[in-house]
This record gives sequence, C-alpha cells and structure tokens, in this order.
Amino acid sequence: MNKTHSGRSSSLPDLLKRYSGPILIGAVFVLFSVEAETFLTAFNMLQIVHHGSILGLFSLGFTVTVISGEIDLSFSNLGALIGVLVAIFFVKADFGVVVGLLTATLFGIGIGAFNGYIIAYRGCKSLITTIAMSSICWGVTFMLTGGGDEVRGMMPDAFAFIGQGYVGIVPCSVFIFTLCYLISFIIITRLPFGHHLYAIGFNSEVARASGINVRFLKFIAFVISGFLSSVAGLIITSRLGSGQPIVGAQFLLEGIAAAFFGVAISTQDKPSVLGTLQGVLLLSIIFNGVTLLGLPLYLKNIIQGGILVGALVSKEARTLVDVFYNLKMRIDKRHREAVGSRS
Amino acid sequence: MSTKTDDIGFTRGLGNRKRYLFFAALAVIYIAFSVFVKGFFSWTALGNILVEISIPSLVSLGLTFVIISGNWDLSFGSVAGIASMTTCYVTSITGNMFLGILSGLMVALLAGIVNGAFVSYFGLSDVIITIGTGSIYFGLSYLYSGGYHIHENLGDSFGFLYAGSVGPFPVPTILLGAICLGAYITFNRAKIGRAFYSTGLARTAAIFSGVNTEFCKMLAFVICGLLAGIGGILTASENKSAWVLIGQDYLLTDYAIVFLGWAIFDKPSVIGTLVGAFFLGTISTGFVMAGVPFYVRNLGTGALLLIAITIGAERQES
Repeated sequence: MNKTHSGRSSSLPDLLKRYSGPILIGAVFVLFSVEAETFLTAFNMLQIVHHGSILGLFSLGFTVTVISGEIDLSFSNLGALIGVLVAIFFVKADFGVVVGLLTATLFGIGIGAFNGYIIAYRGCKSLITTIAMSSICWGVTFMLTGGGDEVRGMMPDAFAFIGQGYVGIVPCSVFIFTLCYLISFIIITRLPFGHHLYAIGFNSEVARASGINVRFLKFIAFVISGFLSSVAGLIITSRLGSGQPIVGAQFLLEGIAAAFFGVAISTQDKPSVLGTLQGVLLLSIIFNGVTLLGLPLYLKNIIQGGILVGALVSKEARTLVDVFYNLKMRIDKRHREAVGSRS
Repeated sequence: MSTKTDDIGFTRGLGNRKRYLFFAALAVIYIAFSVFVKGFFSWTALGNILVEISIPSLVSLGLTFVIISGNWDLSFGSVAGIASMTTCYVTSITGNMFLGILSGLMVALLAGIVNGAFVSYFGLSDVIITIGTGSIYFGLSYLYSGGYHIHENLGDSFGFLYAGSVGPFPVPTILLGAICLGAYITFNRAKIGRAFYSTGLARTAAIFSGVNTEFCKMLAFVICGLLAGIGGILTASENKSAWVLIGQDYLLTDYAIVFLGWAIFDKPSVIGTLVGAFFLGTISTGFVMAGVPFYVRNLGTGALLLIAITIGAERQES
C-alpha cells in the first residue's frame, strides 16, 4: 500500500481521511433530519439504537474473526437458532430464566467452538466451513419450528427485560451492546490477546514463529463470535417476545457491510472495534432513514453493496490510477516486444 | 486466497483409496434409497436426477472456474436472479424469447465482467467485493417488477428450455453435456486451462512463466457469471416464471458440489464437479421422493459439505 505513516500530519486530505467515518455519519444524520420529519424524535432514535445494538453484536463477533484473518459467515443463522432455541426452552420446556439463558448461550458457544475447532485445528477453510455451518443452523432452526413457524407463548418477565427493559434511562439491549464493545475494545487494543490476534491476521506464519499459539487464538476468536451472535439472538427473541426463525438471518449482509466499512475507513486497513462501531451506526441510521422516507426496501441491498464496493474502491483510489498506468505499461511492453521480435 | 492443492501426482496414495470410499458411499446411498423409497430404482428416477442436477452442475461448473483460479465468488446466486428477471421481463414485454434470453445473458456477462475487473485488475478482496456486488445485483433485480413474479406473456416455448427434449435427450442435459465437454477440453487440452490452474496454485510463479494471471481471473469470473445466468434462466423456464429470490439458495448447493468434487478428486475439476453434483442430486432426489421436509435437505447438504471439507483438508495436510 502506498501509505506513509509519518506522524500526524494535519493537511486537509489527511484529516478528511482520518475522520471520514464520523463525517459520513454526521452528513447522513443531517440529511435524514432535514428530509424525514419523524427522524429527529426520541422514539425514532430509540428504534435506531435498538436495531444498532443487535446489528452491532453480530458485527462485533464477525470483526473478531476477521481480525484473526478468518471469516465467519454463520453468525446470523447461529443467532437465529439460539433465539428460537431459547424461546423453545421457555415456552415448551419451562426452563428457569438463568438455566434457559445459560444453556442457550452455551449452545451458541459450542457451535462457535465447533467452527473454531474445524478451522483452526483441522485446517479447513473458514469461508466454506461457516457457510456449511450456517446452513446446518438454518436447517435445525426450521426443524425445531416445524418449517418456519414462530415460537409463541409466555416468556418469563426477567427474560423480556433483556430486550425491552431499561437500566436507568438506557435500554437494556443498548447497555449490553455498550458493555460488549467496551470489553472487546479493551481486550483488542490494550491486552496481548488483541495484538496477537492482529499478528495472526497479518501473517500467521510469522506469528507462529514468534511463539503465538495461532491455532488456539483462532479457536478463541470463533468462540467469541459464537458467544456474541447468540447474545444478539437472545436480544432479538426477547425484544419480539417470540422465537422468529427468519429475523436473525437478515442481519448477515448488514453485519458484514458494517465490519468491512470499518476496515475501509480505518487509515491502516485494519478491522477494528471502533471502525465496526462506526459502520454499525452508519448502517442503522441509513436503514432507518430509508424506511422513514418510504423508499422501496430493496434500496437497502443496493446501498449495502454500494457501501462495501465504494469503500473498497475509494480505499484503493490511488491504486486505481496505478492500475491503468500498469496496464498501459504492459501494453507498451508487449508492443515493443512484438516490434522487437519482428525486426 | 489461493487454493492449495497438490496438482501433480494426486492419484497416488491415499487419494485413490478415498475416491473409492466416496464411490462406495454413493453406491450405498443409491442402494439404500432403492430399498426404502418406492420408485427410486427406475430409469425414470435416474433420468429425473440427470435433469435435476443440470442446473446446479452448470452453475457450479462456473464456480469451479473461479475456485480453480484461486478466488471465491459469493455473488453468482444474485447474478442468476438478475439474469432470469431480465430474461422474463424482456420476453414478456417484447414477446420475443430469444431477445429476452440474449439480454439476460448480456446482463450476466456484464455482472461477471464487473466482478472480474474489480478482483483482477483493481486487486480488491474477492470475498468483500462479491458480497457487495451480489447485494447490489440482488437489489437491482427488484427494479423490474418491484419484487413480484414475472410470469405473464412468456409464451409456450419458454418452458421448452427446461422441460423440452430433442429426441430422447432433455434440453438441459444436452446443454450441460455440451458445456461440460467444452470445460473439460479447456482444462485438460488447452493452454488456458493450465493457466487457470497455475494462477490458482502459485500466482507469482504463473506470472513469471508468462501467464496473464489477471486475464485468467477475469475470464473465470466472466464464465462464472455467464453460467450462473444460464442456470437462472433455466430455473425460470422450469417454473415458467422469474422471481428475485431465484438464485439465493444456489450458494450452499454449488459450494457443496464443488467441494465434494474437490474432496473426491483432490483438486477442483470438471469431472469432480459433475460427480459431486450427481452425488448431491441423488441424495436430494431421494429425499424428495421419500417426502422429507425441505429444511432437512438443507441440513443434510450442510453436514455433507462439512464432512467433505474435513476430509479434503486432511488430505492437504498429509
């Protein structure tokens, strides 16, 4: 990459680049406040943070696996499975609140651990392993719900508190979201674990040679992803008051887009907790605004894809020029060779 | 992400035994279905399997090109969707089926070119880019009808693509045979086929051996897009209508097929993909005839894929 890390220069392009995330979020926020009447209301802000907290938890787990150089595409269906599972625990099996929550979370961690074991210790490719695991989770979810029916019934009040209650004036789901981000921010940026994870992501061979237990850390990354996805699944079920087999699955593209938006706006090309947080905020605001303005919902997909592609392309904006330059060089060289061989 | 397989000498040692194991498993599955499912052991059922696997085989054949050249494509399902929507839209408006198919294929081609250009010439991450473009194509395919099925005014001949037959052979099987033959010749007899493999195995070495690796990657994505488009159009013809979700379940099936073939033959290949498709087609047809719910099929496919990649990964390490 053509990047110079020469301290903190304060020229305008550099500043724009460093704060591109907040600037974008602010611009989108102002745009929707002006365009949509009901955007700037307390109720709507609450909707945004509720959506953002679920999306953020999914995306955070995904980010941790991306930091370790792997990719976890099973998080959304895993969350959906755990959400349905906990609903079944409460409605059909009459589990206590603590037992039900713990068992469901343990299931999620177990699936994440299985992913991690297959990928880290058996050397399978993470992309394809998690696609397979995602499909298994989807199948089990539909099997448990008898073909996609929601699981309805009385849930304990303490469980409903997770998605609907308030801690002081803060919604409980936002509280969990903030707590998870704070803890992972400290772990990823301040503790050796995080630095080792980045080292593995950059070059796992070098990391192994310098004494990092690559396999174990990759395994742990997938366990974390499984844990955070299941927490997100629990929040969805608690918030809706019923086990919905298809709601969690819709977070797949959003979660990926948020994490990679974080990669794209970071000045060092790294996935990070803060970057993902900004991606989550941006996407939550955009989707809320699109819905409020009454625009067709498929615009969501186009915007998601546009953000991903646009972020990557703008990242390589300098290389784009290089690409054409290289192409021209190569054509010139071919031409010269052709001329040379003829003479 | 490069595909690490040992290209040379892959038939020796463990690989051979494992291949027999897979064929034995296929035979056991076939016999088990024949015993337990009424009507499975017949020429009609076998013919049905051959017709049914034609669409997944075609699409996963395209995917095979991309995987051999060392990339991933996660957008081909959406390409199939937008191609089928375009085809049905243009057909229902102009009443001309060939114009519709042509425009559908052009859209698929364009989608492949966009994917390929981003990944090869701009050097962007294949996974992120194809997730992004796939999302865009999926959103764009809503534009034709706002998400509704397109089934009016398609004409009787549109169904011929999937259900028709020339002599004793169904049209999709003929199409599959022709394209497979082309792909087989490309990979085993043509220079460009070797170039695909060398691009995926060792890109730097390929560059220094004079292979235009960017062009190879680009071509792989274009072929993948085109074949996904053909698959989408065939699916639309099968149902005599197109809808936006048409390709969304391709992802799992086609990766499962390619990786099954990879596990059996120790490298992604045309024959491997065909065998993998037959393997999966047998199981899914058996499940359908036994009346098993759709989600169990999905579960079974996922489990099979996990087993296949675990075995495939073991081979790579040993």
